[in-house]
Amino acid sequence: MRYTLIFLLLIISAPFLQGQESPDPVKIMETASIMGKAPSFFMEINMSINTAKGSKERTLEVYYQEETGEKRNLIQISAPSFLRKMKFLTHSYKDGTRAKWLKTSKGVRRLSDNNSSESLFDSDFTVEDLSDFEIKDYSLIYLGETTEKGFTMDKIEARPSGGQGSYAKKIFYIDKTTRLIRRVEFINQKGETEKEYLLEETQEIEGLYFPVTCRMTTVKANTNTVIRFNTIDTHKEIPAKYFNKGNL
Amino acid sequence: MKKIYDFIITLPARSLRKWGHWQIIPFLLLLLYGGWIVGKLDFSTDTALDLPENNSYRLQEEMFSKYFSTSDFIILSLSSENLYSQQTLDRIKLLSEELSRIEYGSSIISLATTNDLLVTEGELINIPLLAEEPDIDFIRSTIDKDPLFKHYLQSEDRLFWNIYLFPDEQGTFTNSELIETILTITEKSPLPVKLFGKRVVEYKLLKAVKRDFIILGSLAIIIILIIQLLYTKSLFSSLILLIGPLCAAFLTLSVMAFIHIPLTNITLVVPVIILSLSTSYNIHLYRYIIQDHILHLSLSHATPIILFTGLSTLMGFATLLFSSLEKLREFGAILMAGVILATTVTLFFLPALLSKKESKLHEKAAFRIPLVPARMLSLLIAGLIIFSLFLGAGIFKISYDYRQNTLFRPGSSIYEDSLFVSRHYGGLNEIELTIDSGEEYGLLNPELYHSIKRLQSTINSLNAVAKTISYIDFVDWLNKKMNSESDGAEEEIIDSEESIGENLEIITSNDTGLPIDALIDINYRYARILIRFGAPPGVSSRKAVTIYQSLKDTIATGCRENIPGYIYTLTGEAVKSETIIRELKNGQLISILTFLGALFLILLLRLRSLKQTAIVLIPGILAVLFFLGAAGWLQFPINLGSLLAVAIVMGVSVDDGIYFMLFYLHNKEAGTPAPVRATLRGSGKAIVQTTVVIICGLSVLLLSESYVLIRMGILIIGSFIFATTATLLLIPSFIRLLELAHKRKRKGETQCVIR
Repeated sequence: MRYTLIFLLLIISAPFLQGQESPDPVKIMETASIMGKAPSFFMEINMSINTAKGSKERTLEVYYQEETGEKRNLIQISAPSFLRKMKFLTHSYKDGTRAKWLKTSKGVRRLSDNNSSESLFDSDFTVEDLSDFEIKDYSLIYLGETTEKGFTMDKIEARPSGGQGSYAKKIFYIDKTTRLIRRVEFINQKGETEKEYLLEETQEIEGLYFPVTCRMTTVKANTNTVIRFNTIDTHKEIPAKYFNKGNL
Repeated sequence: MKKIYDFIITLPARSLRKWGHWQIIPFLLLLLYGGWIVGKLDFSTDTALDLPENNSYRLQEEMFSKYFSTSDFIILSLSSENLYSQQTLDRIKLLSEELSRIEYGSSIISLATTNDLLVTEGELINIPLLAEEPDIDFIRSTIDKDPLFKHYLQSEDRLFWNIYLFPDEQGTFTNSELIETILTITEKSPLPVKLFGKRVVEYKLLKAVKRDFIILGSLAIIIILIIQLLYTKSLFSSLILLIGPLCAAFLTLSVMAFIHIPLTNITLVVPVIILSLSTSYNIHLYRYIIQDHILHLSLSHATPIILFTGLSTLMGFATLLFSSLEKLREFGAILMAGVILATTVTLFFLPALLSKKESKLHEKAAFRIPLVPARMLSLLIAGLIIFSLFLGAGIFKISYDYRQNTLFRPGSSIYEDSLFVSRHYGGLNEIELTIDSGEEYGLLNPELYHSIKRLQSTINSLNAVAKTISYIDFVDWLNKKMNSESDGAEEEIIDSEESIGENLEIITSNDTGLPIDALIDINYRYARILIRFGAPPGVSSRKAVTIYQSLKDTIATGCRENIPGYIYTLTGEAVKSETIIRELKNGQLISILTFLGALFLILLLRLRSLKQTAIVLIPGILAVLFFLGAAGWLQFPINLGSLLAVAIVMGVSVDDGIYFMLFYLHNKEAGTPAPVRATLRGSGKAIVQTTVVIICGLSVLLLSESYVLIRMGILIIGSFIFATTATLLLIPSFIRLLELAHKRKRKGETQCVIR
């Protein structure tokens, strides 16, 4: 009897003795986002670009739609007035490819893939920074949990596959509750932090979490860009033609 | 007053009687402390002068630095037999990568870091000019067609590739560290590389300062020792005459280290001057020792002369304290400290050293200086007046020079660099023309855009202008690309805020690697046209300034015609030099008048005779006239060194006249027959000796690499020779005339009484 009880105890405690398995970083990144997860939304954001030589403001309208695995994003400048005709459209397809177009008063032009690391309207954000993370382009390592300023986060290291990429690695801090990316460290080949993204304030809209203020700092240049999300509307009817290149 | 005067005059003798050898101890302690602190003496350069804080130019420059990125960069010029060979391009890439990795560099602009924006088949592609596998034809055709890339990436004559390195503005490195790191990298490059720019000039100047300090300082000591040997024919006497000045010069360097004044290409003259001045004071004391053979008695006789000459020199340097430029005030303070140290060492340290060794001192037989015969006097005075007028005319020819290459003599490395830059780059002098549109986004106004374009074109058409660049070039560049798809269509004229604004937004967002932020501020209110111009190094200062002034006039006219009502400002090194010289000139006249006025009053108190005071001042006035006139005739440009030199000339050139007059009064009071002749016999040798020592000490400046020091040396030496000649020929003659006039007056009075 005694030996049977010991045997049963061993069987029950075995999983705990072996230790828990690490969470899957891929699954974590799939649920994470910078701007919040919703099938479609409209945002009006204010971008303050701060440099050592002064600051400038840009007001943007952002339309987003996700359908059958394809994501579409339209950004148009509403202020200053001389940039009202500038629009930026991206399509991310199921196969992982991406298409981008820029519309100016001179017409519409497609942007090559070379442009993905270029800054958005001369800010510290690039097109890539504000887009959804392309998991297949990176190898991910789960670095554990961490708590900062009362927020518990999953820490994940992402290295570009095949060594290609603007940075040697990025370290993501994903809020376990909101699934918003609270912090990103962009590390270069020398191991130095070149840029840092920080989510400063969040809001909840009908059970979904979105940023209120976030900041991207370019460390060496001592510049930063602050984005304030003035309006977020997840119910706004966004016609499909908005995301049509021909409609730009 | 007399009690205070007597107290001061007798203090050295009383101190010697009381303390004897022990007077050396405080000096030894000072020397020990000086030895510890002199190791902290810094070396620096005086290429960058700070204008006063409230100066309008400085305020403007500081304001614009908040809006525009820095124009502080180093240019690396790379040569190759074939600029477009695979090998050359690979080497540029490698060199750019190595340079971008250095700790002190903030950013690099080169072929390897520059991107082109290709607009083709409805696509906008940001493409690096130097890709992994470079397309040589593409690179060649892009640069050939594109004035923007040509401007930044190649020399004017298309023989050299450029790499610009912008140092980290927040960095804590020294300029030498930065340049040496770059040199270490470029030395390994198979491509010959030349470096130039303001920082490179400063680096080479700093090396020259260090070299000059060691070589010229050592030479000055050796030369002074040799002169003393020739005079005294005694090694003991010569060494004694050298120890005091060496201590004075050493302690002056310690004071500089203590108050953190660095040794620069200008302040390098300070230890040489103090060494020479101190030697001349020692000679005065020494001569009295030889004459009196009793030390404390000699000291009583020599003290008034040394104190007065020291005081006059002190006042000459004190005029620098009133300058609006901080650097000049520093110079004045350190020179005054040096004179005080020189005087103290002569009156307290040297006697303590010599105590009970008076018998060992020697001197060569005296030589005579003749008195000018009466019949020649009027001829002499006439000749002097004509010469003075000639010199005076030279004052109106005084010019300044904004070119840094004029700091160094032909054959020196910086001069050769200037020739190279002038030949291949059209010069490195820049004027920054900043236009204020008056409001945020004001530069997007198409009318203003085209007006600025016309203005830039006008400036570009001038012969003296090598090239210009502004934000217009960037906008036009992209506009051309955006319209390039339309075969055969004319380039679309920019006629709306949108086209200018969008182009700027695209350029700033797509990093071309080119510094548009040096040409337009972030809110598109201030625009800058960078105008590169130059007068080659061989061109005289006067001509160079004429070219510069003519350019400024054209800019002013162009702005009035094309952008009336808009505020424009000129900045840049050439403009800054002009502003500094104006400040110097304004201060110069005030300094001279202040010095003469103050010295006049002090001498009047001592001599109690207006005529005698006026006579004593003549050599000083003539010396300054000589300095300024010769500078004008010889086309030596005025700069900071000149102002310092004028103060030196003013302070030192009256010393001999004061010495002569005091010696004469002493002879007259003692009832010496023919006091003028006796004074000339007694003091003439010392006057000649002190002048020779000072001139020989300063002659080492002629061996410097720095033209500033060479010119300073030539003018100071010439001024002293002129002043001493005037002292020995004119002062005795004028005193004799005064005596004759006095005799006639007394004779006339006596005759009146008899009648």
